[in-house]
Amino acid sequence: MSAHARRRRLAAALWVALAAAGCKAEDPRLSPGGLYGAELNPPRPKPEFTLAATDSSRFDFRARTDGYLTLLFFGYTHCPDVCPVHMANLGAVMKKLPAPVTERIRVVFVTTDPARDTPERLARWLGNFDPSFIGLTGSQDEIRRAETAAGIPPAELDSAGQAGASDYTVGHAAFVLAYTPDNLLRAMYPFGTRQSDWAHDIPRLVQMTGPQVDVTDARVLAAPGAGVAAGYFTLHNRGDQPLTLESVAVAGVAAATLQEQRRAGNVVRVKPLGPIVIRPGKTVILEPGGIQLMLSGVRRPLQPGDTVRMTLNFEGQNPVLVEAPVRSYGEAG
Amino acid sequence: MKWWCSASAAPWEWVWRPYPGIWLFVLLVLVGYVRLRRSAPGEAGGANGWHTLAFAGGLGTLWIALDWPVGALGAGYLVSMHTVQYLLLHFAAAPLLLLGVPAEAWRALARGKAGRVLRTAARPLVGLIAYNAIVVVTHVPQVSDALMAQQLGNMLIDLAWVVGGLALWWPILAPAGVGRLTPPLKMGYLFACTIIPTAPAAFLTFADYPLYSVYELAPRVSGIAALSDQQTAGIIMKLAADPFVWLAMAVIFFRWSAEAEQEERARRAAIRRPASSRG
Repeated sequence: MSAHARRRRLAAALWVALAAAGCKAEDPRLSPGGLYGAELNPPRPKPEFTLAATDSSRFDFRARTDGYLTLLFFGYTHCPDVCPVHMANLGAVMKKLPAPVTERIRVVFVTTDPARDTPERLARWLGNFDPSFIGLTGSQDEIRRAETAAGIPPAELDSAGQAGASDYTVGHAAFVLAYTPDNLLRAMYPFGTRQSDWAHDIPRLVQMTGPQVDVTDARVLAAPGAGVAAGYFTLHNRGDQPLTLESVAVAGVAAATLQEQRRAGNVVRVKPLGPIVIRPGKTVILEPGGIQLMLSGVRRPLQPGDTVRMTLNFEGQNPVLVEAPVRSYGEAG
Repeated sequence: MKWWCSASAAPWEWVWRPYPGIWLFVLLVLVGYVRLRRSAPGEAGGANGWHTLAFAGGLGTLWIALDWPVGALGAGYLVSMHTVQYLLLHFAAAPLLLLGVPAEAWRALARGKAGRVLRTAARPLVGLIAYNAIVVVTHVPQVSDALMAQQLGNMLIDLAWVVGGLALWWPILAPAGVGRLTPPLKMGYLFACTIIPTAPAAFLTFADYPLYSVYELAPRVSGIAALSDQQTAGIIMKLAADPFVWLAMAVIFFRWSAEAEQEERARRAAIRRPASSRG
């Protein structure tokens, strides 16, 4: 082979390699979970609030959106830019997604301007984007409580609005909160989210549910002033596939380790545990004297009445969020 | 990305706004034209009423394309209006401005320092590459979004389209001695120039979602959806631009045909004259 032919072959190979690398390159905008939205880790629970729907019925947000991908937005109909663009983009994408996906979505718009956004106006305005969009309203206090429950900063009228003028703007959070069907807030979408981003993320968010497991009787036992505590809960696999609890992350704690206590005579031996497998239909109980979650390096002294947020990580599944009340060792475990 | 809405982007309103930068640009083009005519030999630089009319038409189109409302709508609200700007600058303003300058003025300019640039730009391959490169690059969403986000970038795109239009039409309109294309080659060149812009037009028309964030995230104008606006832009880009080129091709063809006929008549007359003088 001549030097010229070798160079051409090398150049061709390099070109193919570069093209392949280019094809494999991942979008740097994607979150670790493969979303264009800002992913929350750990996810946050869906808030509970009740407001008035546009047909004047009471709308229990948590109950009425249970099991749906819920896209919650706080805005107002006189908004010149962010609110109509967010709603228009969501409406446009809803028209393109297949029915099995859109049937599992609830878009909920809570007005931050109840004085001007009458139920009729809200219904008409949302209907321009998609008739399935749900509009909610209430008193200023009710809306503020809903914002607080959702963990977003409260909306503010501009100075003209505060002075009683009829033409004013409302400053408000510009992001859409995405709650997956397992009622967890997994991602937030600021203004600037494109239709193509929604089209990519929504089918994934609809599929994002936690494992088929019931976590009950969660609690943390803490000795006053101690830097350690122990977590307990009951896991029941209600699915038809085995589940493997790989690890537990606990907020405000340096390390959370699964371990098993065994009493041999007067001696209690503690053995670290690997992943816990829960077979379909079976129950695993973490309880004093048996399996426990050892919490060490507790950063803030735990007091009875506190709540500890635990994230249970199951193999190949989305994490499960558990809020466990703190009890003292003296209470019945 | 914005996490707090404080209503910074203004919705479109039909309220006139001044754009002094555009006026200055139009004025500079006018000054350049007057100087070019004065530099040419002969009375009024060899210009007649048609030249003045063509230049006035070109300058007026340039102004309409860049100033309020077309320029403002195209800069930040509607991609379809941005495409109307593309159309006006490439296919109306540029050829009319070139036609407004008399051949003598061009030749005088070509004898000076600018001669090499004018002769090089009159080569069809140069025109083809320059025009297509400008069309393609300014329609790449990443490029367009990055430039359109700022006023300077927006002006750069407008300027690039003026230059693209001049590059497209100069090989056709350059006077003899500067340009060297024959009429059939001119028609072939114009046809070749319609091929590549089909790609961005097709992307605009058939994309599933809006391509440009500037327009997708802009306050809506009269309730026009972002995707419908983009599809309109794609249709305008292809279906409204091509007739300009076909019209130019038809004009070149009929002129060429008329010239050929005239030459044929002259040749026949020349043959007949010696015969009649013999009789």
